Amino acid sequence: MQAILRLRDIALSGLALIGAVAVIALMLHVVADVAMRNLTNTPIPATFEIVTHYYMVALAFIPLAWVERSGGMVQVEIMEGLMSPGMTKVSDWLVALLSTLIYAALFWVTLQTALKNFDTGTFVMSQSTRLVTWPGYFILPAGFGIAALVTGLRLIAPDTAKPEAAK
Amino acid sequence: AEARDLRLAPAAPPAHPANGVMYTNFAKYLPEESDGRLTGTIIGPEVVSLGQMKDALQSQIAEVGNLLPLYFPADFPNMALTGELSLMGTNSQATAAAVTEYMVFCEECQKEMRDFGIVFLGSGASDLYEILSTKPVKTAEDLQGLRLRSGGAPWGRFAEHFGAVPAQMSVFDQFEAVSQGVIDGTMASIADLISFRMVEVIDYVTYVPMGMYQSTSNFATSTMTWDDLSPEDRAAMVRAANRANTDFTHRWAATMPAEAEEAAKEAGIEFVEPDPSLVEAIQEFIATEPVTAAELASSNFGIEDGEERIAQFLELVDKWTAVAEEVDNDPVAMAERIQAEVWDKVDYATYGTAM
Amino acid sequence: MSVETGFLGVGILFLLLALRVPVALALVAVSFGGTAKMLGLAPAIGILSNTPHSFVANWTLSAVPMFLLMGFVSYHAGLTAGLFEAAKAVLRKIPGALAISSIFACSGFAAVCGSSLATAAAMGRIAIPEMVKSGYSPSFASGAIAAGGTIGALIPPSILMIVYGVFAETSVTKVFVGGVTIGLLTAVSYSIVVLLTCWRRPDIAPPRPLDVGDVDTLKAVLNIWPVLLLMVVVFGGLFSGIFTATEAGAVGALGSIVISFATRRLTFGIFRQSMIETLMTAASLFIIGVGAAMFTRFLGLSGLTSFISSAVSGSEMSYFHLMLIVVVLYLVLGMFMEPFGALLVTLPVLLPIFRAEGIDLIWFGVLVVKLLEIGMITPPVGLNVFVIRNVASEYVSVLQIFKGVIPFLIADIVVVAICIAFPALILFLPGFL
Ligand code: NA
Ligand code: NA
Repeated sequence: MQAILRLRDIALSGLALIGAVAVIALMLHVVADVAMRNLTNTPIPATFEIVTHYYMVALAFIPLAWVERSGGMVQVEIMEGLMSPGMTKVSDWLVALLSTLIYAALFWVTLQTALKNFDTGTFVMSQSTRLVTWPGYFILPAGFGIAALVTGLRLIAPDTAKPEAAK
Repeated sequence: AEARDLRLAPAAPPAHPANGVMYTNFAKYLPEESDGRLTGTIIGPEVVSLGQMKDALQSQIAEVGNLLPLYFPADFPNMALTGELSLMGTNSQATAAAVTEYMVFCEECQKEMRDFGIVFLGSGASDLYEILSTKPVKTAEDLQGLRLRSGGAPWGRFAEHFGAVPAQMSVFDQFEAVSQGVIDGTMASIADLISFRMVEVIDYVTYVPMGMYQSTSNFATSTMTWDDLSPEDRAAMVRAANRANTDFTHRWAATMPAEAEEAAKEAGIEFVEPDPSLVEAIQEFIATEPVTAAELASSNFGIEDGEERIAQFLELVDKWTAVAEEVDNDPVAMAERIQAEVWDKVDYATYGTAM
Repeated sequence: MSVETGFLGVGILFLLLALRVPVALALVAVSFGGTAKMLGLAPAIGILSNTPHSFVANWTLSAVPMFLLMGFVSYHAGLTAGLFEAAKAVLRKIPGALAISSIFACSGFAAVCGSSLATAAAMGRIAIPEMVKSGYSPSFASGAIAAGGTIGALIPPSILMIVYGVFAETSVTKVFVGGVTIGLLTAVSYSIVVLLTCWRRPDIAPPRPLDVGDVDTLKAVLNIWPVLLLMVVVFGGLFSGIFTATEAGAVGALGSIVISFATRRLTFGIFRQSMIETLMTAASLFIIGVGAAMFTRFLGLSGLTSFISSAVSGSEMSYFHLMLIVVVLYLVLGMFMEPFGALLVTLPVLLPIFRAEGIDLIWFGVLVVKLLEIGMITPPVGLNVFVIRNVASEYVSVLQIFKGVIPFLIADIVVVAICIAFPALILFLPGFL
């Protein structure tokens, strides 16, 4: 079990790394577009579409499981202090169960959407540039699926310490 | 029996003609045309936006929706063909009627819509586009280096041909972009002056022939809903849609531009008379568009008979231009003619179904 | 349409939130269940499958991670460290100088940081120990910084304002500019609170001027040039048309990295920490946004949105009556909810009402962000207070901070009242755009 948990944390850091790459790419791409537009009057084609369909989707959904694991999901702690440690444990377990179900449902339905878009070969037109967008749709089931695994694992092995709780 | 209430998604706020005229009138005509068997409830753009229309219709979140094929180019290669010719139009009612007739009798178009999960109930069109800018555009030189928002590939080609820089952005961002000087203007309907508050930031309007927004499916109906309806109810829906379509085109192409021009004059916006040489150069460029559109259809989608289809479409445009001029673009008369020449020739037991 | 289902959904949402279900997932669950009940499974699945992508694939929202990165890099690399020193040097001769300096340092930090939590955390680490050392009561000192932190979301850039702009489809730049007024108004009102406390309660706030003798004011002010440079780049570019409010985020983020690197402040560790905090905040925010967008669609389908707006517009409520309801609503929600959840849950209902009543949406954006920021310092859930408790745990308990915040809350209510009585005050600056 310990080995699985360690492996999980290493894998989750990898997800955060991919998210960070998306953030940096977004920054550099937009700045380059601004510079090109102002200096040479030739903006980078399809910047708008690449930012929204790839960078944004990647930085929002890929690190989701890592956020879950690090305790970054926002909860309303109105009952905190009213619950005994035992009740908190039960409540944690129920929340983990509900979260797993919701992530699993999101995984399944976004996977169907991604497969449909793959079949169609979905793309968008940015002026005369044709940008293929279907690969980006697979980021969602990937993010939700791994998040479901992480919360599912919490059902068997409740989180004790929160690693790099960065808030 | 209780009336069947349809969920209608204009994907536009109440002030927009797609909601305030097109869908409001459709909801009014539905019970009239169906003897009360059909009614409609409008759901707002916060529930279904233009980009969400595909999933909304496929899952029946909306049963009838305002679908713009430009948002889903991979799904509508055949319908895209009429959109590529957007620069050619000169009369809004005629163009809308031509697109409607072309789509109803185009087998490939009907097949791709069936595959997508919608039934086509007619088209509409905007007014003629113009250049709304912060710098005067009188000659072709004035277009050099000008940064203009473009609503689609045809206007992008137009801008690039004249050395302007087309900018792709959401219509909601154009106000801010123009007011800050990020772009110099937009190629759009003059109605944008009021519907997107552009009147506050625009200084010049130049009327040049540059077509209109014309590739629409105003009342795209979910096939699941359509399959549920009797042929009589389907025919009733079409009659209601047909009337609302010409109302919409009339609102956008006739009454709104008049209001916008009024507002422009009040705001001190200058109407620039383009130099004849510019108009001529634009017309020369537009004359090459059918060839370009045929090439794009072939290279992007493997449509090999694009040239024939374009010729067929342009013939319909000529036919309907004569009709529109004959009835003086009157929306009620146009609706009657389209009903007689297109929709009455349709068999509602099979139209839009898998057959 | 089934308004009852809409009300039921709102009720179940609050129940799930009270049961500690994460805000995002509670919103998703209620929207799915409610839509399935009203329209069946297919539409419910349609909303579930389509909303995550369509909400996140949004150009304006791309500014959120960028402004976060800019703020975190500026803080961790110490670009903003000089702000407090400079404020102290300039204000050293007035009573309560240390507290007032920290409030104005918060305002300066706000100009390079999009969130109030980050502002409170950054200033709390520096200012509270120093205030306690020079005789302020720990409760008052941490209350001042918890409240001062809220300025971080009022003075642009502001992530709350960006999210508001996206949902209200209104000009983010104009809301930003309106935020300058309310941010400065807030800073001034907090300073008055400090002055009054110095006068009435010298035991908790020592009125004597700062004892820094031969400080070189000019030098202290010149020391903040990296932050000033960053502000000039971001706001200069924004208002001269070189880039838009959305693009300003990316330029600011890269700017903060370049400036920290050039001034030898950026290490790999600092960059890594800033990136971790950026991702954590952005991803947890976006998933709440996804849930809220689903909830919006569910409420729209239930007809609850139009039911409430027509009830309000039909009742011919007066402007002040309506505003009283809005203020109470946000103060109550703000007690329990974090601001993004509260914003995104309420906008679907309120925006149609305000549009119908002809209320200016720029002004309302500024007001609503102010109201949400008050919620950051009200018990029982006051995120700024919790953050201060984290960075100053050796000085105060949560209860003491909440106590210290009370005089600043009174000032907040006065500012909100001014805002409602004189909308022109907020709309004056945006009117120039
Ligand atoms: Na700020
Ligand atoms: Na609170």
